[in-house]
Amino acid sequence: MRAPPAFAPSVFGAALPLHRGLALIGGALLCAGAQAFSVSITPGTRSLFLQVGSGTMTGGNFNSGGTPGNNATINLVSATVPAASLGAGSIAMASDSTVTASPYDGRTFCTVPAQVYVGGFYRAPGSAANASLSVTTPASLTNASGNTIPFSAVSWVSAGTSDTAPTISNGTFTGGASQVLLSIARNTWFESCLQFSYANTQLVGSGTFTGRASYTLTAP
Amino acid sequence: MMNSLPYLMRILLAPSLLAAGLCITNCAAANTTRVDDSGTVISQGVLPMRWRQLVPGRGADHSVEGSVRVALRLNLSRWLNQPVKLYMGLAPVAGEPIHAAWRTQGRLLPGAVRSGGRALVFEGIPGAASLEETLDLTLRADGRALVSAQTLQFYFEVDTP
Repeated sequence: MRAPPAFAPSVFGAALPLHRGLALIGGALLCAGAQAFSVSITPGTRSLFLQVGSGTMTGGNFNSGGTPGNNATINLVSATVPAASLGAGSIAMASDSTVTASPYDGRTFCTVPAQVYVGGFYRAPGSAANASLSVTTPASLTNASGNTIPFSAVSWVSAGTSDTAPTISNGTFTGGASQVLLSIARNTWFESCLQFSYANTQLVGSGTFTGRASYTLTAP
Repeated sequence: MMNSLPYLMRILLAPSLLAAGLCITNCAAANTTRVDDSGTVISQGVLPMRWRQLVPGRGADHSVEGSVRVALRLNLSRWLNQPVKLYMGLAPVAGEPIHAAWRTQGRLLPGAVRSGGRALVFEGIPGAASLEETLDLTLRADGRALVSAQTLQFYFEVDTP
């Protein structure tokens, strides 16, 4: 007597594979229509902002949604040396900047006319290198007669109200070159108040001596 | 005769075991099923993410975010008049997680999800084969980590009891 095969046709044996086959076909048809909708996103934009002295913001302080704008004002820092004081040592300079509040949050930060606000930020996605704040000055300040005072005769002290660790260090203009003042990590706000002084160590001719210091914030 | 009984048992048991095995396989697969959302339309193909705070704050919010409107169309004909739980999911992404939150017009639940997860958007019995809804989708990510374009895959799936 021959034993029947284990999976001889039966009601279950025949029906189940057929049922399974239909289920697979049905599943394949359903999967063909199923999709995942997609949204492509791009990184945040790089941005850079520098304010030296006067600045412009609209819509409140920066930390409350204010938007910085362009401001072409070039502030003047000056000192008058009385004849009797020529060469007699350091004289504090004063600025025509009226910025006392930090544009970041509006807190009282700089003292005018003694100090000049310098601040800004650098935004960048990813692991970008630091931005760099530098200042460039000519070799000398000059008057109408062509007399000169080396720019290195002008120094600054960095401070701000309740600012225990100024971000820009104290320094002196090198004159005739660009000098780096600060390295700024990405996504960082920085600010300082600079108080300038004239060394007044030499006898110079009378007149108004001028020169421009240009601050530049450079991002990689 | 001694061998006949095992053969008979095998004849009777094999289909039953096979049926039980198939049931387990099919039941598990049927619990969660992707939904056909091929009729869905996105208001913009590429979404530029913007810094939440233009200025980096001392509170260090480095998030970027963007919003997009999604005209959603789900084919629920398979679950018509059946109790279902409908989930919206966001596929995992490489690197830092992406957060998505959405508002709806009431047919689906508003909610939020982070990449790799899903959230319940509907529980009940679909009364129509096609479900249409408008999602106002807001995406948020760590702007420091998002350095190149990414494509986010959203999906819908139904859990059946």
